[in-house]
Amino acid sequence: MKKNFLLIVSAVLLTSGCSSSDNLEDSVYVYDEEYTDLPAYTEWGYNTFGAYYDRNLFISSDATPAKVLSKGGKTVFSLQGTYDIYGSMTVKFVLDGYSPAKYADLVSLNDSTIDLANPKCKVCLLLNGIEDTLNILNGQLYIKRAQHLLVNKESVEAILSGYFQFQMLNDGTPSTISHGRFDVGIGYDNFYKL
Amino acid sequence: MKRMLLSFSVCCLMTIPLLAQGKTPVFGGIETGFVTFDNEKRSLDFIRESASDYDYYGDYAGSTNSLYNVFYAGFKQEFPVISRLSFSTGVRFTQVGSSIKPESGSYMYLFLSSEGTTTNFAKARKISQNSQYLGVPLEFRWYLPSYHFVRSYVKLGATVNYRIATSTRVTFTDEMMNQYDGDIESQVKKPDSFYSMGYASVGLRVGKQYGPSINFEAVMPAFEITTNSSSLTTPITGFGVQVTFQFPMNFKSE
Repeated sequence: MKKNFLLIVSAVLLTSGCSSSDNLEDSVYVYDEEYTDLPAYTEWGYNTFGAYYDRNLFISSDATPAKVLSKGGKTVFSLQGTYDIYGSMTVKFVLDGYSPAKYADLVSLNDSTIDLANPKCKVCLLLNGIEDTLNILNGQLYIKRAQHLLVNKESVEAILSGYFQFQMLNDGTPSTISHGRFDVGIGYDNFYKL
Repeated sequence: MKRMLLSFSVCCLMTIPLLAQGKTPVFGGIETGFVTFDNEKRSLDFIRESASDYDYYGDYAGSTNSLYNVFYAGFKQEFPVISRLSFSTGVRFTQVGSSIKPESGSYMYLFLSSEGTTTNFAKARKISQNSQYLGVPLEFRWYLPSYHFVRSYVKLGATVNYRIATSTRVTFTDEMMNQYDGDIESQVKKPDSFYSMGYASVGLRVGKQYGPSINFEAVMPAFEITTNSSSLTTPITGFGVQVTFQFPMNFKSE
């Protein structure tokens, strides 16, 4: 009985601790008015993204939805979420020749369009633990806005907001990722420089 | 405009005693009241959402909590119209206070400024706005029973008010940020110059028929006739209390 009581008290304390939603790291879903199951395009660093993968929903989950890895003259921008009923899926955009030293340097991507069919760019898909490099037929990654965010005058993160869509051949099967949009914060906990 | 309101109220006070007939006195009174409103936060572009549109259960959820309260005090006179019906008017000072706090957690993020690719947010615990008004209350009171020492009544009233001042304040988590208070204030519009509220109430008058009395009333419902008395929230329906001390002003015994 005493054990149960302690368990209940611990659960209440834990859940009340988790209910505080004042962190920039939290995902905030403000839904699109037209594509109602996708997050709207925003520029607040809401840590969400969404797209349709062959008309099925690919959307950020509450875990860290975006990571940036800068290594050896390349940068990998990855978006991790869930793909309909198929489970966890990650799309990785590998940008050759771009290597920011710190997260604040990501603002150099402000208002830039990356042609995903360009040989200097690579797109990988990680689904159920299997990673494939996609044969991109056409498509763009458009970083509409990149901001260096200061909170109370202290540097906190970079916010990357934009759109993406592309057509690809995956194991010879044509597929489309469409209406993609993202608004993610990249800071100390999800920016890596190797 | 202030002069117009003042002139109007003085005229009311001077002309309406003509309604008073016979032995029934005109009562002077000092009133004070408080009304709190159910309200809806306005769409404010400078507040970052901290919660999703919908919660785990699919219900609409918000990031912030808003308050809207009205406090007033004033002087008014009550003039008998017919045996149980009276009319009151006077001068009333009103303070409308509204505020926004985070729904959960201890602070919210506010947009301060953006220059090039650098964006500034500030953490704030609360935004509040207070407006002061000078106005005229107009009330009709219907006494339910004939004279008793404790007498119940119902009332219909409205006020017309002119805004004389407004201040918006932000409570930042870091006092160093107080210097940026103006950046937020510049993003908040001022309320309209005129504000009007309607209300119904039920009450008890305790006192002799022609002597001093105290009146307690429950104001319910109260509603805003004008819509923009706060830049932070929109009031919907309110309830509150009003207390009035009354004394006879022109009674002459037969």
